[in-house]
Amino acid sequence: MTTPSPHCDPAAWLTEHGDYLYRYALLKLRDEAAAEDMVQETLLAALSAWARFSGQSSVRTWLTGILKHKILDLFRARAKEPQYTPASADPAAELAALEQALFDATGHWISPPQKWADPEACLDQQRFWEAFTHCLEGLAPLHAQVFHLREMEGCDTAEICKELDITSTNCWVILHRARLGLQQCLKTNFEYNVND
Amino acid sequence: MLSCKDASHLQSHAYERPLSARELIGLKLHLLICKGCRGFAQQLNLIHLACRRIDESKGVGADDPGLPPDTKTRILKELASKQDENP
Repeated sequence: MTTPSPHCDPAAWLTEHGDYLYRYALLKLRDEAAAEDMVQETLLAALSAWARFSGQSSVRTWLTGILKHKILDLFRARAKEPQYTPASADPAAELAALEQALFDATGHWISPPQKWADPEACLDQQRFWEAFTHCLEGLAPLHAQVFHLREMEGCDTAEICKELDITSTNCWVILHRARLGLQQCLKTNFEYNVND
Repeated sequence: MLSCKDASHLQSHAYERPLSARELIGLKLHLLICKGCRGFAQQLNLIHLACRRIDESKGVGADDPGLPPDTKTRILKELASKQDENP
């Protein structure tokens, strides 16, 4: 267990953790300028909050926690910008359009998903991560925001609805649309092969 | 009997909230007889797991480019001026 360093030394935070924080932010934001800003804001906030750092966690964990909040704030702010508002004002109609292509009139799969012998093995395959990242990038901006908050950040749906100002029905429809879209995208872009 | 489309809705719902007993029984019965929906269930679970692991698996690799040096200098200046404000 680490003890808190006796000095508040932001220059050392930057030297020791700056690259890590930047890579973390870049992974979430995929935007170099925004990631740089996030690191700066994180360190400035850390400087103000230093007195409250308990030393219960490592400095890196503490800084990463601050960074996560900063990134969430940015997502929330972005969600209110015009380019992130829904492409379609009616997520249910959008889901219905996708479902029309996937299910027949009786609601059965036109092309049923295949069962894989060991799906979790995919998590060790570079090919899988390439396809998965590609598919995530293909989500519509609002869908990507909602899905990210729910699945990557673990926010509950009530919180997401409130932050993004959407109804709980639309929130669910968007999450399902995102999952269905990802599943179909993986089907196209990733060939399951257990022997890989 | 549930259709595959209904079953896919319930499967997705289950990631957001606990299903009611009625929903759960309907879904289990459907999955028993429907291979396609069992495949779909697996892939939803894989997507869910991948989201949880994306940080470790993809990410924060020590070989990726770090902060550009100019940015480091800029941030250092910002930190120093803030420290001067509130010594």
